[in-house]
Amino acid sequence: MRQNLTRKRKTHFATITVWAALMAAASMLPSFPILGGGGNFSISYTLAPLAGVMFGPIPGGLAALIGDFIGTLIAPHTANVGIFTCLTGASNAFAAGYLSRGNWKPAFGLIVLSIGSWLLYPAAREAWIYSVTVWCVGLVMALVGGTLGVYLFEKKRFLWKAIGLFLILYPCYIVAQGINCIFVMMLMDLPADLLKVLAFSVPAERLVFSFAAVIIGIPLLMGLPKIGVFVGPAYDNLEEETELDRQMRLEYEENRRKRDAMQKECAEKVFCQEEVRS
Amino acid sequence: MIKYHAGESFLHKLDPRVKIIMLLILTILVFVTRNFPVLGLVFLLIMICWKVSGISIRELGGYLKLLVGLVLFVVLIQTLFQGGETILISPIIPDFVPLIGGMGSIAVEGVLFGLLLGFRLMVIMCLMPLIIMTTRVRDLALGFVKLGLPYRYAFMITTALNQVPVLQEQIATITDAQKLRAFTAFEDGGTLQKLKSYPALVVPLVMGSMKKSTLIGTAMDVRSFGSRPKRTYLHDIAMHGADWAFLCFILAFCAGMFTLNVML
Repeated sequence: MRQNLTRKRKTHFATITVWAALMAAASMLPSFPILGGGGNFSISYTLAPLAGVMFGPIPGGLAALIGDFIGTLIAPHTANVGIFTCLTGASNAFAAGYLSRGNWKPAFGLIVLSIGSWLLYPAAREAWIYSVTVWCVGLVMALVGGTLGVYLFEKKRFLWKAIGLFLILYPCYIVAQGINCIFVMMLMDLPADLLKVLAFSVPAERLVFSFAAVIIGIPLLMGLPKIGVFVGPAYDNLEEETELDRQMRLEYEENRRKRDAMQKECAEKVFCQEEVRS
Repeated sequence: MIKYHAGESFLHKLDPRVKIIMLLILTILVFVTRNFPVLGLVFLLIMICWKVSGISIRELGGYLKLLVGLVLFVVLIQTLFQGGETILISPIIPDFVPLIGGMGSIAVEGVLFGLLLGFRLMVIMCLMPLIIMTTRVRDLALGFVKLGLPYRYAFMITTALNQVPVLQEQIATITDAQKLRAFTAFEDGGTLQKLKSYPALVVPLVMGSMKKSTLIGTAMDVRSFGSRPKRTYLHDIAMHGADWAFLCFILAFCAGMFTLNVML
């Protein structure tokens, strides 16, 4: 019976660990305040969805969860809803992981879940405009991101890739906002008048976050494979080198090196002989 | 950055599992409560724990300074937007201002509600440093493992925690290197300039870290990390009488507070 010796590429958990550490370290960097829930925007907020895009929904979500959890522990002032803040980044990465791979349903489902819990609050029901500008737009963008966004993201041209990534990341930030809102409303009970104001500032802020994540994400997604770190949806199905393949490659490289050395040696000898003759 | 403070206090010696449970249960309690007396009692308990831990209250004060902005923001938002029957100031915007003149009012109920939410936030924020400052990273991870978290994930948490100072050093190095190239947006730039300057910091940082992660991965693989499902520990933890007693006290305290919250 023929045995399948190849296996699909899996993200090593050392990579997840280092990404989590990166997110935690980034949470200590200067950040910008976000209106409404009293949170703030730091680099770690851009790294969360990128984890999903790079490593996939589960490893990316795990990296974001651990990174935000550690960030909450070492810099609690950045966590506006205490230890539950880590769920925001994790949901962001989870949604981004699926969306970037063409599956819009998890992101869509998470936004629907957020709407469900959101409408439990009378203030949220009163500020219906928020549901339209944030949630409804988020739902539409999840569909657009999962289809058109993925299509553009697969293109080789920088601009199309950037637009594709932007379309993928925007609904992910809405998902994260939805999860964060569940806890913010529980903790801070934001009044309806404020929510009406936030109905316009929240989408604008998410646009800026998505833009910032694209600025950081595109060079990384294009640069990391060049240094031998194969991340992103394009490399998901890349078969990992088996031990047998590796031995064969090393043997081939060794033989080639020996052959080159011998050729060089011969060339030098010939050169020396010619010089002696002349 | 919040770090472990070495000590020999009761809280330092307490089993990490008890501290993790305490963190979780008190956070949930603060989330569900909306009473000043209940929050006050939880805050009092946390302050007693701070005193028992032997860690200088200045440490907490320095850290609380960072929170002032957030708490004030919450109080202000609620004061301005949450209405009430007992009006203090009305209108906030004088009548002579065109279009929006005569709008807004500040009520006593709004101010009190704002203060309550600000206090709630402060209670949650005071709890987390207490756990981190009195527990070694190693013990915290072991606590998670003993509570049922697979070792692999606990290892990830501890390794990531240990990597943070290394990465911070790397961030400082990259920032210095950029400064040498007359790139000062990190320090002097406005919000937009700082935002634009992020790739100059993040891209080399992530590139370097990812390369390092492959080395860590290889080092772990050659040591066949995770090949044996059951692990043994050099420094193990065990629940003693005092740990059980404190856990029972915390559970009883929380049950009492939940009841008080419902009654008030």
